[in-house]
Amino acid sequence: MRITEQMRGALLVQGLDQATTTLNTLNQELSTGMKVNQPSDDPVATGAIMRTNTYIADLNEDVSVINAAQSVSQAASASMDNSTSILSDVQTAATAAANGTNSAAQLQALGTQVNQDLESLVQDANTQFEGSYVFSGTKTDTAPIAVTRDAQGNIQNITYQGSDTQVTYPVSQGRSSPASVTAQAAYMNVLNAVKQLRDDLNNTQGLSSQAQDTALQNDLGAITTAQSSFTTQTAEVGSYQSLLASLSTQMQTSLTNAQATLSSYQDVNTAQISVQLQSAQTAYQALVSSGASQMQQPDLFSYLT
Amino acid sequence: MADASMSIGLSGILAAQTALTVSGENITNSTTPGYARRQVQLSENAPTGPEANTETGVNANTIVRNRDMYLEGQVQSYNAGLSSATTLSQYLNQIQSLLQEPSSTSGGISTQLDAFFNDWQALAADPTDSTTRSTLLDAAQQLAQSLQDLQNGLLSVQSSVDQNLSGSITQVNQLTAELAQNNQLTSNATSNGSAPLSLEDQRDALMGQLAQLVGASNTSPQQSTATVQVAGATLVSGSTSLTLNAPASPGGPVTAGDGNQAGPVSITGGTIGALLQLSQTTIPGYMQQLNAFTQGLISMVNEQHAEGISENGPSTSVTATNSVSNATAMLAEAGLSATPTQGQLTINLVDNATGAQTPVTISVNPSSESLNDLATAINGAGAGNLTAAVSDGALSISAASGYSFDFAANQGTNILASLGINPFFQGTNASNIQLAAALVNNPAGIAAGQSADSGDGSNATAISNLETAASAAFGGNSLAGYWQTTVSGIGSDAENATETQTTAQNMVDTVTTQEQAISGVSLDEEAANILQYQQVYTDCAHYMATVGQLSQTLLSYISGVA
Repeated sequence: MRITEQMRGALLVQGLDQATTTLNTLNQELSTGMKVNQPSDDPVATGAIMRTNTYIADLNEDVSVINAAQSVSQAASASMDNSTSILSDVQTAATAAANGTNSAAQLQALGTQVNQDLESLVQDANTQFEGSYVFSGTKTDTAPIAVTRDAQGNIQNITYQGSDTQVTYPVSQGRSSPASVTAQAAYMNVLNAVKQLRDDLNNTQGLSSQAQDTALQNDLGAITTAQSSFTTQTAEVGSYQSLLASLSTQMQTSLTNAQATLSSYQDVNTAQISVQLQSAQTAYQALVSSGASQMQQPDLFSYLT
Repeated sequence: MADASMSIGLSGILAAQTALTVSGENITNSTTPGYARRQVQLSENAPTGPEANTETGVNANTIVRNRDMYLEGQVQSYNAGLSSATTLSQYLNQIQSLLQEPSSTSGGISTQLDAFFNDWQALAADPTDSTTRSTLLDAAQQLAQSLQDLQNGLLSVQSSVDQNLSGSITQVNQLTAELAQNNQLTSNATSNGSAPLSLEDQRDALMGQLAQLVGASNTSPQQSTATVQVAGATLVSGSTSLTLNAPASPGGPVTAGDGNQAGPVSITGGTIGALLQLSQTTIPGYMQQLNAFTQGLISMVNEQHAEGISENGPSTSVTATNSVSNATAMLAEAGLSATPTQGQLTINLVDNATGAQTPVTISVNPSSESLNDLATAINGAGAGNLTAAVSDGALSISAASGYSFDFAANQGTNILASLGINPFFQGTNASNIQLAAALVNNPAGIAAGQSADSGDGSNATAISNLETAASAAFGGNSLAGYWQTTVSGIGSDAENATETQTTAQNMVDTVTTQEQAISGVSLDEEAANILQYQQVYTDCAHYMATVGQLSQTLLSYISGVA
């Protein structure tokens, strides 16, 4: 085959083109740290990267929704714990009152104490977290428990004005969890039972002392029943909390895994790329120097005189 | 005898001179595109004399071009493939860089889509938070703007393709005119008996450029005049050429011929073939995918948003933002960009005093009902508490005093989104999508719940689930999935174009090398030739001097005897 100077030149240019393209690609990968910088670098990995990015963004949002739900749940739980200890005070008072040996003045004194407990319980039921009522279902802008008061300022009538629908938090795609319970379920029985006890202690209906004793004994039973249903509701909130906590852990694990997946799709192995870059540079230098000396080689004309 | 010998010597000197001229020509044109190495073909002169036994020396009248026309055709055809692949790859790379995918830090549509739908989820968790509401509106506006930007980016690539196309067609017309002229000159020269070697070089160079532009080939490679055909149209034949016309409108066909006689030519090769493919198929296809995505986003979000209730509670009146072109035409043919589907529309009528809700149900049948019919049906079912009217093709519904209304969840028809009632987005495609006018600077207008309760984020939850939910509109793919598929598709097209380009480049390199081996000028070879002919020249000169001396000697002997 005839080889002309043009062919040697063209071959050198081709080689240089290829070498600089390789160098350019490796440099870009090294400087961005990513092996997929545009969709055509790897169309299949591009789809996977986008899917994983969406998944990661979703998980991050899920985690922040779970955090918000956990805060509400903690606020609800703290109020209910407080109420539980108030209720046990009330039960002690009810037990003392029901033994039938108290004077009217002693009962009155117990009544005053129970009235204070009632006020505290109403306060607990109307707990707010960041401006929203935690026990009024979806009517978060409305205090769940409304009371009317008599001339002395004592609570007379108790009504629930929240919603029966619980607020649910979208903790992940297609999955929602409540964080709290409604005051209708948790507090109405308790408040009514405590109010009845207070009224009977104060004997507002003017019962005979025997009838009052009977009423107080009934109240003790009602308080115990209400207490047990309250405990059930407290346990309900506790179960939401543990569900949210386990979801949070699960999301964190998924997030770590998803980030590892993403990294496997898009991140370069820096060590490997550095080595490749080095050998590409060596190849380029070899090509340049051998090319230059080849182009400068004397031809037959150099020897013609 | 001496005469004959002198003329033999002279023929050698002339032949050596011609050969040296040819070498000079070869050396000076060694890098000229289209130049094919010349070679002197020496032949013995025919003997003369009565018995044809008188030798007459050498003849160097024939100079030939070293060109394999079969290889030349291959070089041209591979070059056409290369320039087509290069053009495709260049524009597809431009298009894919508009996407700014796939990294979550580069700010592409997918990232913004994630942000948008996650803001809905955040709103669902805290529907009363005004910051969350404003953030959502910002994300929606940004997403809409990015979709518009992408559409505009594609349009600008398309217009650059179209400009390039008309420029390339002008170039083709110049080349075909030059080629026709070259054919004319060539036939003139050959009829005069001369061999127009430089015209042949020029012809090959012109053919090479034409091949790169339109993928044309010379259908008469064995003749000295070129005939050029493209997709059945004869662009050059003899001294006539046919004019190509750029498409009258973007995406239209290229035509050949003048005025009324111009007929379409479907060019598929070369730069112009690639440009036509981009302008007619590829870019419109991408735009169609972008629009399908945007339409899906608008209709899915709007359908769900219409079923929710804003922070301001149930409505007392709503007006559709999409109007029909004809209020008496059937809804399916009334010019709505999204055709309504058949089904039940349920409106919850709320008695403000008692809070009692009454469902008002209207059946919607787009093939037998006009917008006016729909208004009449609402008026009938609303029994005076709900009135509907059509004004300028837009439906409005209002409640009687003391009443308000909202739209029930899980409507059996998309009539609300189709008419643009309580929309979240307005617009119909990627060129005009934007946040609904009613929501601009009005975060309270976002319908986060399906009840009027402040803590109800159920509608926001439903919308946040739309991103990855399978949709019939995308053949079972989700909104996010459809976009991922679109981006992967564009990436794959760009990757294929680049690979095709690399392959074509290798093929071009291979055949060009083969052609160079035949047609290229080797300087070493020319130097050897020069040495050789210099020697011939010198020896011929010595020979003539010797013959001359012999004559002298004879003459001196003759004069000496006398």
